[in-house]
Amino acid sequence: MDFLKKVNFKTLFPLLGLIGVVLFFQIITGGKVFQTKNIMAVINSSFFILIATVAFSFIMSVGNLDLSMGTVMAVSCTCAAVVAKISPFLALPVAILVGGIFGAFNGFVHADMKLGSLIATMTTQSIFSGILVLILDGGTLSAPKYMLSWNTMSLKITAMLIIVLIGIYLFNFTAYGKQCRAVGSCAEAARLCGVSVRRVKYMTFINMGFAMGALGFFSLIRTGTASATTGSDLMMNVWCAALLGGLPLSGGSAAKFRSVLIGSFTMAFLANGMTLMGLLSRDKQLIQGIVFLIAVAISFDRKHMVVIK
Amino acid sequence: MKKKLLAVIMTAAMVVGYLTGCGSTAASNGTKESTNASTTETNEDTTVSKTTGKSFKLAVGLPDSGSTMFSLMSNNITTMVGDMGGTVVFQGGVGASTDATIQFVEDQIAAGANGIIFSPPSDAVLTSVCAMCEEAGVYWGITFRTILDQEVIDYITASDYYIGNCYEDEEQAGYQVMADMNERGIKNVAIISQAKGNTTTDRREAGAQQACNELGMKIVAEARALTQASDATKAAESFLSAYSELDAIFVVGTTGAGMHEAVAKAIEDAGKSDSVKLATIDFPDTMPELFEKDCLVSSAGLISWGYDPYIITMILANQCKGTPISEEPVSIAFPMSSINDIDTANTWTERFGDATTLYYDEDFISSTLDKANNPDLTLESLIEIIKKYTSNI
Repeated sequence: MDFLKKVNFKTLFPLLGLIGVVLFFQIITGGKVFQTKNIMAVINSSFFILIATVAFSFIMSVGNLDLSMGTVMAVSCTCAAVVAKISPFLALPVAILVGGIFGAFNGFVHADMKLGSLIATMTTQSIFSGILVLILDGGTLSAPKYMLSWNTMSLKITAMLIIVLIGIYLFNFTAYGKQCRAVGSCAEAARLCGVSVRRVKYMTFINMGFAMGALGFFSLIRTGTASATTGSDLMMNVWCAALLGGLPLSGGSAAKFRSVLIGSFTMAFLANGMTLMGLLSRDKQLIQGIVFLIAVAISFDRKHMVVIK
Repeated sequence: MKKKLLAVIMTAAMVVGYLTGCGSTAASNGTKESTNASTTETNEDTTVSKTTGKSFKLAVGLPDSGSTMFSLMSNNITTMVGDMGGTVVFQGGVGASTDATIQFVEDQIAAGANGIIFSPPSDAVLTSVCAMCEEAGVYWGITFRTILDQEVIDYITASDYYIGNCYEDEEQAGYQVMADMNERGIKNVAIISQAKGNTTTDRREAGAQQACNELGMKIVAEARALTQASDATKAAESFLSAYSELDAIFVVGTTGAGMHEAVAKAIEDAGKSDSVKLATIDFPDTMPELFEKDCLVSSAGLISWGYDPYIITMILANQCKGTPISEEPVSIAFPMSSINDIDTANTWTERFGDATTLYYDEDFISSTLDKANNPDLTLESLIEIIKKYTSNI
């Protein structure tokens, strides 16, 4: 019993959740989960969520949120489609650059205009959507057909590994990662310790923009198009993954990078398992909603919230 | 801590219970399959011949519920595929974005689907889908959409796995509804449509624009890419307050349920039922009531919304069974009809207002639509069957 008392259930829950989800679907689908074809589908499904959640984990560890990620991805994807007509090799750098610029604008609105991240990114999301509609003129843009051949599993796995390794390094082994959590724990204390809170907040949004830019490019070579709906369902999936993995909404030192991996793969296996079971779309939504509610209810740090708004 | 642990265990039990319940749905589907199988065993002389050929699994990227027209479609497709010896799953939201379309195809390939049907949000996404399906050896086709990009047509029709598309004569429908409104003295119209680039609504709008040019009508405002009824209400309210000269709101195309009714309610709430009318493409569930209120002036649609995906799924089912109806990809255009009065609306509702109505009964499906049992079924004879059905509104 002493052992049980020492175990931090809140910390273990996300990992148990992932194991539980995988085992449940492995049993119920008669062993289909670990078939090669299905593992490829899970990697495909987790690719966008994982990369976005890596970047989002820095924003969350600061105690912020981002509502504009899907729109930044759509704008980056659109710009990539535009320059791809000139030279496809420009698509990736331009997408990342555009993402970074839009991320920096988010940082400016939040850190310099002193608007809460939720309100800041809600307003910028609207501005970015307007820019997107202007560029697209209400329609869609296509990528050159041969760019679709770039969408290979080896490229995706390589990109995932590189971004995850960079994320682990930045989060755990650099001053920047520690400063993010310090700001999330108490911004004033971090400032008094010499941390440039403004710079840290800027960097988290710029990094998020870079990641969204990269995903904009990957979306372009995956779907062959850029449209106003590109990335429209990304935000909810990323939020779910972060919370399922155990990233605290309140940020701070409780934020762990393992949450990114656990949450992203839990989301991917959950969605994949329900598809393997042949569930109807309404059932999937209901189950995802329930799982999301449980994750938030467990991970939400009520002790440090004076008032629940 | 104990309370938390208890809460977690209870919620986990609830989710597991729900999932298991869903599993039993799947199991009940399985039961349905095994019921078919047991029927086959017990009535060997009659049903064995009805489900000859190999079994197969199809995925249809359309919602299976939300309105009568969705349920009617899914019930008919489920019945038809079941009668032909296969199973089918439905998923909504697939045509909402290119990301969703690609994810659907990837997921269903991984889930072991032998054939996939969906309604694409744009032509460009078809190239990616074609490459994925070809690699996985999965047959696929599209519904409700024609393809305008010749480069895309050339690419996908060269694939052995693309079976074709069924679509409606959208341009004619757009023109017809505008002409019907013109006859009622309507000149200034606001439209609710999909994002530009959606080939279906682009063509419907082209027809509407042609009517404007020929009949002296004008499109004064537009709202696009609305996904739910509340968005339609807001759009209609904006039109009604901003355009005093407005005569009608034309719902050219939507993906959500209850959009037509939401617009009608907004007109009624604004007290403009006498001066502003409603027109639609795709028959609303509440069409007779809307005609009775003198709100709806014209509605164009296929005889039943689900008939188009039904036919392409039937072609796909035959392909998956190894008895293709055509060696080349098919491209079948369905004629649309317009309804302008309550009597016709009532007649239509009597026929299709019940989600359990079957387009074709089990015997017809087995004896005529299943090529394994009817080797004489060709594309030409299928088109004759379609013509016979769609001309009888």
